Parts: sequence; structure tokens; C-alpha cells
Amino acid sequence: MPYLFQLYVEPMRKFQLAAEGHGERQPPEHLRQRIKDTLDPLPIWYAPFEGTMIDEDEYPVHALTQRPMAMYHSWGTQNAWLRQIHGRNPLYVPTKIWEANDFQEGDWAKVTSHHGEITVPVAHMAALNENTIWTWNAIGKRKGAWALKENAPEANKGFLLNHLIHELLPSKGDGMRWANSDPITGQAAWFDLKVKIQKADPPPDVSQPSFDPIKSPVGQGPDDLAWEVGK
Amino acid sequence: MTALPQKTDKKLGLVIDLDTCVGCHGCVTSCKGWNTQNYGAPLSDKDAYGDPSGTFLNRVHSYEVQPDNGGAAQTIHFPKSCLHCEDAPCVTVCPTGASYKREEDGIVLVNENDCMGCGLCAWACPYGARELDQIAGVMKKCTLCVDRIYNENLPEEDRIPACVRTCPAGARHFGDLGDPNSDVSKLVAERGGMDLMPELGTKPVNKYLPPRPKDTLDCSQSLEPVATEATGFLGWLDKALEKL
Repeated sequence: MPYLFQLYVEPMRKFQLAAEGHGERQPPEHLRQRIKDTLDPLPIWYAPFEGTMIDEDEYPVHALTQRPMAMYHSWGTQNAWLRQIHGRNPLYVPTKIWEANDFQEGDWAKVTSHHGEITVPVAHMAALNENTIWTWNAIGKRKGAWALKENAPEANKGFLLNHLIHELLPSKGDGMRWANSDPITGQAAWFDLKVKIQKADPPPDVSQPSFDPIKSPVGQGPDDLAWEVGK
Repeated sequence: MTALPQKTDKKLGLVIDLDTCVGCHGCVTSCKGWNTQNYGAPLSDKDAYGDPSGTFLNRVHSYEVQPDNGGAAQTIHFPKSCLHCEDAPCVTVCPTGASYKREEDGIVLVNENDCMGCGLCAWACPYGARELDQIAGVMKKCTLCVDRIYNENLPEEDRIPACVRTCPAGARHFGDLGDPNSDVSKLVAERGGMDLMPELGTKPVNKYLPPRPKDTLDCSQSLEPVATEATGFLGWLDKALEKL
């Protein structure tokens, strides 16, 4: 099957042309420069906004998170099976950072952004950009959430990067706060996060921050399952 | 002790492409979905919503490889299920005759009515491909979806194992590896398909296609340049793009 791959996206250029002063409809002045810079009709790269607004010497490491593929094709049945495929999510750390911090298997790390701090288990990963750490998204759960039991690994060693990601970009001092999101799609800028990482000594018992359990509105699931659908 | 057939008419099995497998676990979930409700006892899960442990006929293990030659480290996703060995040690070790290899197509199965859950076959299998279901107390293993592949109630395109049917990367193939002219046999020949641990003499039917190194560019199949000097529209486009 032929596939049409559209490199040049005309609607983007229309916005950009308006920002350059063409046509009757003009963007508000305070948005003009950003539209000009980012609504380019061709694929371009520019530095993540958050990174340009914080001290990158203080927060030198990119932190990424992606939802596990296993959950895409069965998201509707987030269940006992998927929990066994991805029930734990260490923070994957590249060799350079691993060695610089003298990490060992089983260690925990304190990860700090301009917005917050988490303390989480780490694992070494060589096949990784040397300035990037990452983990699976959507594994960490608050205790009691999803009607899981107290011993669920997701609620003890699981974690999310959400605590590090602010909804807004850092203040520019002009009284305006900009959304920390992609200027084209409005998607939260998950991949723009910059952090610093250090060994957590002593390590905590459970990932931090840790909140009180929430009460399940649906009770608890059965201990054991032996599904035989349709009988 | 249970005897193996002298020879089988076919050698049905899987060819798994480690170069294209992305580790999505689609095959793991579709396998469990089909096989929990058809052949034999359901595939159970203990402490399903606590710290769970369940029965799977197919699992994906992910490994990281750091080549000795300093090449780029890479992640290898390795789907693992029964290899339907020609010389299956899980069959010959079975004290009740529950484990057997079919003469017509080479599929290794467990007759659950005769299985007493002694676990000897799981110990004998060097690949860790059998799991004793903790609730049913019988041995579970890949059936190559024997209840799909000959099932005339299913549309023809579904008469393949569930894992092969679902693989979104096209990394799993099913066919007769005893026929040198089958698509799977040709694929194995072309891509240097491997046996797992051949030194053990189990003669596995399933084959694995090796992953290619990620940091080397094979230019032998690249296209010849169509022109040395760009003219006409393409010449204009080339100049325009260069100016950017």
C-alpha cells in the first residue's frame, strides 16, 4: 500500500504567515513570536521551553516517560495479566550517570526538578543516551487506587514523574504564566523535563512521595483468577 | 516414560524475528486470552490484584546486549514459548504418558486428564517453556493453538496461532518447518535462523531470526544515484532546499 507522507503542512504555514504579518487576521502581539518560531510547516527542532527557562547546570539531565506498549493494545482490560507484564518500573539510568553516582543494583535515587522531588528505585541501562533517564509511565499507583491490595508493587516501588512536571512553564516575571505544553498540539510537555539525580542514602522503604491509601469505591477483586470466558 | 514418534509428517512451528520484535507483549496477552478458555484448564493467576503470579504459555524477556567490539548497546526482546522439539525431553520424562508429541504435525501437547502435576517435564525442559498451573495443578504449555489451526469454524485467516495473528510488528511466522519449500523454511534459510541451545540435542522446531547490529549501515543494497547533475524541476528543488 502506498503511504502519503506529508512533510510540508500547509495549515502550519498559514499560522506562521499570519505571525509574519500577512493577511487580515493577526495573532495577539504576545503570541506572535512564538507562532512565528514554532508553527513551521517543515519538521524543525528547537530547545524545549522548560530547558531554556531554568538553570541547565543545576538540572542537566533529560527525564522521559512513555506508556508501555503492552497497555496500548489492552488498555480496556488493564488487569491481572498486564500487571504481571509491567508491575514494576525502575528509573533507567545510562552508564555515565550510573557510574558517576556509584549506583548499584537495588539502589534508590533522589530526582529533583525545578518543581518537585521524587525518590525511586534505579536500574542500569547501557542502551540509552548518556544524559537521559527514563521510566515506564502509568505503572505507579497511589495505595488503594485501582482496587489494588496493599502489597501491590505498583503502590510501593512504582512511581510517576508527574510530581516533577509543572503544568506551567517557569515564571518570566511579566505576570503571564505559559502552559507547559506543546505549542502546536497543546499536549503536556512530558518530554521537556530537566532534572538532577543523586543517590538516596539511606533508601526509603517505598517510593516517595507516598500518600495515605485511598478507599476503593468498588471493594477488592478476588485473590485468585481462573478465567474461562463464555462458559 | 513416554515414547516419541520415530518421525512426524509435518513439523509445525514458529519462526520468531528478533530483529523486528519490539517487545510490545501483544503475543503474550493474545496467547493468554485464547488459551485461558479453550484447550484444557484456564491459565490462572494467584494474588491477582496484590503481588501476582500466573500461568503464561508465552512470555517476552528483554535483554540488553553490549557488543564486545564496542558497538552500540541494544535491547533484545526475546519471546519464549515451547519450541516443539523433535527430541523433546519433556515427553520422554513423563511418567504417565500425559505429555506426547503428535505424529501428524509434531505438536507437543499435554493430556490434562493423565497429568498428575509432578512437574518432571518442566524440570526436563531446558528452555523453561512449561508452567505448572497453581490452581488446576496440571502442566500447561504452548499448544501451537491446535484448537485454532484446524478449526473450520474460524475464518481462514484466523487459523494460525493467536500470537502470530496478533503480532503488530509481523515478527512471528507459522508454518511447516519440515517442508524446505514452505515460506517459513525459506525465511529461516534467508535470514540465518537459529536453534536455541542446539548443543543439548533437543532439535527444536521453532527457529529464531537473529537481530541485526544497530550501529552498522549495510550499503550493499542502496540505490545507485539516478543522476550526477540535477536538472529541471528536481534541480530547482535541490537548490531551493539547499538554501534553507
